[in-house]
Amino acid sequence: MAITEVRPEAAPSGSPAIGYQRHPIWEWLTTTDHKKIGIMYLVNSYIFFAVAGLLAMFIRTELAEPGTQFFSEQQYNELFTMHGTTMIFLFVIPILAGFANYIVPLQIGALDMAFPRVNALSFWMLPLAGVILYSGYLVGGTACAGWTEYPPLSEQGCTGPGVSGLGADLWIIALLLVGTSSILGAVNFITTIFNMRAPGMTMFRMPMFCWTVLVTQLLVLLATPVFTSALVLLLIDRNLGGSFFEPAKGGIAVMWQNIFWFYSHPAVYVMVLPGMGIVSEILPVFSRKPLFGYKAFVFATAGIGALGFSVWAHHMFATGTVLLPFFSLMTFLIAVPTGVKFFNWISTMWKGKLTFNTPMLFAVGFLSMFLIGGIDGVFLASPPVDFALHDTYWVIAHLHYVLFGGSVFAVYAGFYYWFPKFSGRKLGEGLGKLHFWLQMIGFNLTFFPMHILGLLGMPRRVQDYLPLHDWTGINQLETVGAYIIAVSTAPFLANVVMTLRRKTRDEENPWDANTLEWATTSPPPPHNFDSLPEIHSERPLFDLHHADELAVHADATTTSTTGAH
Amino acid sequence: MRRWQEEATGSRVRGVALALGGTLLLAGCAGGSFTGATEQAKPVHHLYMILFVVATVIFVLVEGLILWAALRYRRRDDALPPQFHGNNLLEFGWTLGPLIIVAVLFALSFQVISKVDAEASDPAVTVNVTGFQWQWEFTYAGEKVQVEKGQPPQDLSVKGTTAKPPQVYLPVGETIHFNEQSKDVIHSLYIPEFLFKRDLIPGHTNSFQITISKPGVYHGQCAQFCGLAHSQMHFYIHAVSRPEYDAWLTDQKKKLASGCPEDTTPGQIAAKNTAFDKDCLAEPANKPFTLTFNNQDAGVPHNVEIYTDKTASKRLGGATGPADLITGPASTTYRVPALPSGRYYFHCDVHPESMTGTLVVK
Amino acid sequence: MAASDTALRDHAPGQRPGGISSSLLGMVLFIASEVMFFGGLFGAYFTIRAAATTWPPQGSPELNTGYSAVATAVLVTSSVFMQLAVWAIRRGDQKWLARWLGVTLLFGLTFLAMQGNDYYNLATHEGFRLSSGVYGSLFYTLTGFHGAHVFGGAAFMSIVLLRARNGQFTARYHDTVEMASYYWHFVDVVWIGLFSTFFLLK
Repeated sequence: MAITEVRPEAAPSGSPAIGYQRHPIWEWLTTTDHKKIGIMYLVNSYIFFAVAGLLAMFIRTELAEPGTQFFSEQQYNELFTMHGTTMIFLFVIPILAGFANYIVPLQIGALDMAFPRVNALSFWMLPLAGVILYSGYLVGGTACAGWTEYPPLSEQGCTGPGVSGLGADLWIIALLLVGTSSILGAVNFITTIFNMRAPGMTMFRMPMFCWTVLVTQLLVLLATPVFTSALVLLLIDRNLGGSFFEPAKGGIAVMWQNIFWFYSHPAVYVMVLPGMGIVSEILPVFSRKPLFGYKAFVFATAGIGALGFSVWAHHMFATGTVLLPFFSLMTFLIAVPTGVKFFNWISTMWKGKLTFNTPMLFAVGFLSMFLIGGIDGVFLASPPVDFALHDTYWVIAHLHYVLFGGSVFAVYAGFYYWFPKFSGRKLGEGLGKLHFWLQMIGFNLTFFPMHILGLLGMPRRVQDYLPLHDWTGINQLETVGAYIIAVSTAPFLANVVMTLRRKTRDEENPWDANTLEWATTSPPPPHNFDSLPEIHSERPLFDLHHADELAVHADATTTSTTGAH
Repeated sequence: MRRWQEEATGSRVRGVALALGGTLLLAGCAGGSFTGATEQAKPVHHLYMILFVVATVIFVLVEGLILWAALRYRRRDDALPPQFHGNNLLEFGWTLGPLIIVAVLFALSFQVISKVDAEASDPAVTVNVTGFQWQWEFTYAGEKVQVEKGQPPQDLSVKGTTAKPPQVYLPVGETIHFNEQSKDVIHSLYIPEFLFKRDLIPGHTNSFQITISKPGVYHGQCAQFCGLAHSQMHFYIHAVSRPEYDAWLTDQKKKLASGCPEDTTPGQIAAKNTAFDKDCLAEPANKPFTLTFNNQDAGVPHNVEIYTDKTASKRLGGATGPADLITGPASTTYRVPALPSGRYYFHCDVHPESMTGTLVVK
Repeated sequence: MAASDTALRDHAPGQRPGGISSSLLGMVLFIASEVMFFGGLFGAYFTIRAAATTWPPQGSPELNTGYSAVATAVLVTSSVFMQLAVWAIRRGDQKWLARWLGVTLLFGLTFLAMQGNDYYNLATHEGFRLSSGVYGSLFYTLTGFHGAHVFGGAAFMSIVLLRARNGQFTARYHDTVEMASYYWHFVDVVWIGLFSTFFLLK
């Protein structure tokens, strides 16, 4: 059986040599090419990351001392509300969708997504949603009841009954847009993955990143509409005289929390599973071994997705209205498939030959930090311990360890890993390592002490705190850490700018990676592939380039049915 | 790889592990500073320590493996390593192991839930807590006080302000039942040293019981974001011996019955930051009295004028009218004629919305 | 490779041998998301109903079950016509495709008119509005969103009808008609759920 060598010819600049040239701005505004749309997702999301990060800097600056120094109470409440909302809906969820957009069609050997025009629509709804969300600042104030906007508070505004501006309504409309964008994206991704894989690529030969995207998008498809229904009910209560959440008129205040968390808990897996997929791509490449336990990974991911629908009320233990044992049990259980993944990742590295280029640093950093976030979450799975820790800084520590230490580290890992695919050039290693270590230090300094603050009883969403129990000293340490995180983005941005301006290019598969996106030019031509290698495993390029060495090792591999042959 | 290289790698790993472990232990010690001041909190603290030990062991093990792999398996040549795809036995093992661990942790949690949520049928004290934006009211069910003649006796109520949060006295070692209600939005009663919080939800009554095991003063505050002054909703629980508690109850009832529990300095009132320092004045009936007013607001005019009621239509005493003001810092003394027993109203004519109070004459 | 090549060539883009076409899969997935949306709304209804002491609450109007049963019949019949349209084009009958689509659309619009009329009566004669407590909120929100989906379906169907009359569909290529039928049946099933919940179960 002949093995097809892949040597696609590309125009020197990587831009299309076919078709008519359009003005670049018009091209980008109207493109339906998943690669360009992917880039726009990444750029748009990173901008919102910076905005929400700035809000975080304001929060931490205010919290450095007890009392109120820089912001009024209303402004502060808007700050943490906008920080959370922006990070979740305008940064983490879309940036992972952006990676998926660029990479998934390439990894499955397709020429675009199943519905390219819907893809473009999904993207453009996002900057619009962002503008609508932030326009609150122009109309007297944004939403201010936390990113969770619990009624009755969110129905009446934070300054007291009867004084609610447009902020919360703009918040609702913005999130309705984001939700629609996500749901359309889910339809697109799922159809693409099911229907457009190249010949030979069975489901169990798909790259793990594609599997995590598939499970994520199933979660998006089924959970986001429930959030839509909650938003709609809140909008009706606020503007059309509805009474879904008003006890005085027959509504139930806590019902919002149930509907909201039914979505928002699966949403946290939406925010982390693709990141885990990225790590699952990087570890094998930089360990020069296949992903250990591919099938176990698939089942663990699917298990997390399914279980994720059954735990929502663990956010509500302190309400006194939920069935504690059921939700506690399901929450404890979700630790098991996550553990399986950890052991499989470590086994991927085990007895490998590791190099620590920046993508690998961030991937291993993800493992270390997400481990902490996962472990401190287990404390919260126990209702009596949750009674003490709920709505305190322990929760803030937990969520930032999984979302920053987890998702953000994974996002940077993916960015450093795939940057050469997007641009034909690797980002500089020196600046990359500086970025990584500064961020590691800053991140841990900011968020690890929050565990202690939570244990010492400091509640969340407070601008002012009593100078009790060493809270002040710990807060100051955390503020310093936050400033270090801010500083750490400088080498990253400088790296990107400098690299893009560099004339010299790197080879098209600089990492000697395994999956199909590396089987074409960097960046790929509009149609993605001139030809594809044969696909017999989840590492088609590896099989192609290392056939001889693999033959030598054939006896050394452990026989198991978890291999994908 | 040379042996010295292996040894160096090994000791590096050990050093890192020690540093991390040490930090964690320290964190654990600092974090364990609240061992729980109620009978219900003791098993919670115990459970926390078990979770902490398990968490530390798992963290050290897994992080250790990560760091070990990262350091031990660095690439030193270009040959491919053995291409292991997986191992079913391992998968089974590291699924079953964690499953057993979480099952045990769940079982322990379940036991502790029963203890924390248990409600005895005969609590010694029942406190009805009402939360509202942005204060608390603690009402002692069954402790009746005659506040006003002609009105039925009401339960003793402890309230507070932002500057002077409610001071709630409770007996040590006895079962205390709390009923929670909210007047507006969702609040949460959180007492860190009791390792406990429970939400106050409008339209729904939550209840729980505690038995405080150690005397002391315990700080609490709202832990469910409730708007502008959420971070100012504090309260303090004073856990005292039963005799002290009874004495406090009697004292509170007397003060409330006097109609003016906060007026510890009769005949005086001050203004600062455009607020009176008390919202209640107590004076004897049918006797003229003097009222010394100390305006501490530099450059700001205030006065104190007494009316029959909130409509401020009929003057009874104090300042002679809106033109009779003093600008701080300054003091003046008003002579007030004898008044029959009853409840009257006073305010500052310059700030009639924010500077108001009740004059209780008995 | 040769065999799979030919097999692939034989299908329109977006189709795999033996699989569901992308357009149809896309519509199925979209309908799944809509099911979850209505699921959230139904969840709200049953939560509030379960917690209430009397249901419907005191002062709620008596809903006109007979009238709504007729509306239900209209909508269900329209689904039958929709399916007849699909069967027509599967055998290549463009003429009857357009006719059955037209009848479906007519019945769909009739349903909407009947709903609108019901709303009008309830609002003016019984004073029953969205702001009439939680029962009003639930009734108008659930049936209102359903109506909006019928309207969307009718709009989609109008476009399909125009394209059908232009001869754009054949026995081989009529995925859009199938998509429209899936959506229309979904809208019908949701109404059966709503009717059962509000008018039969109460």
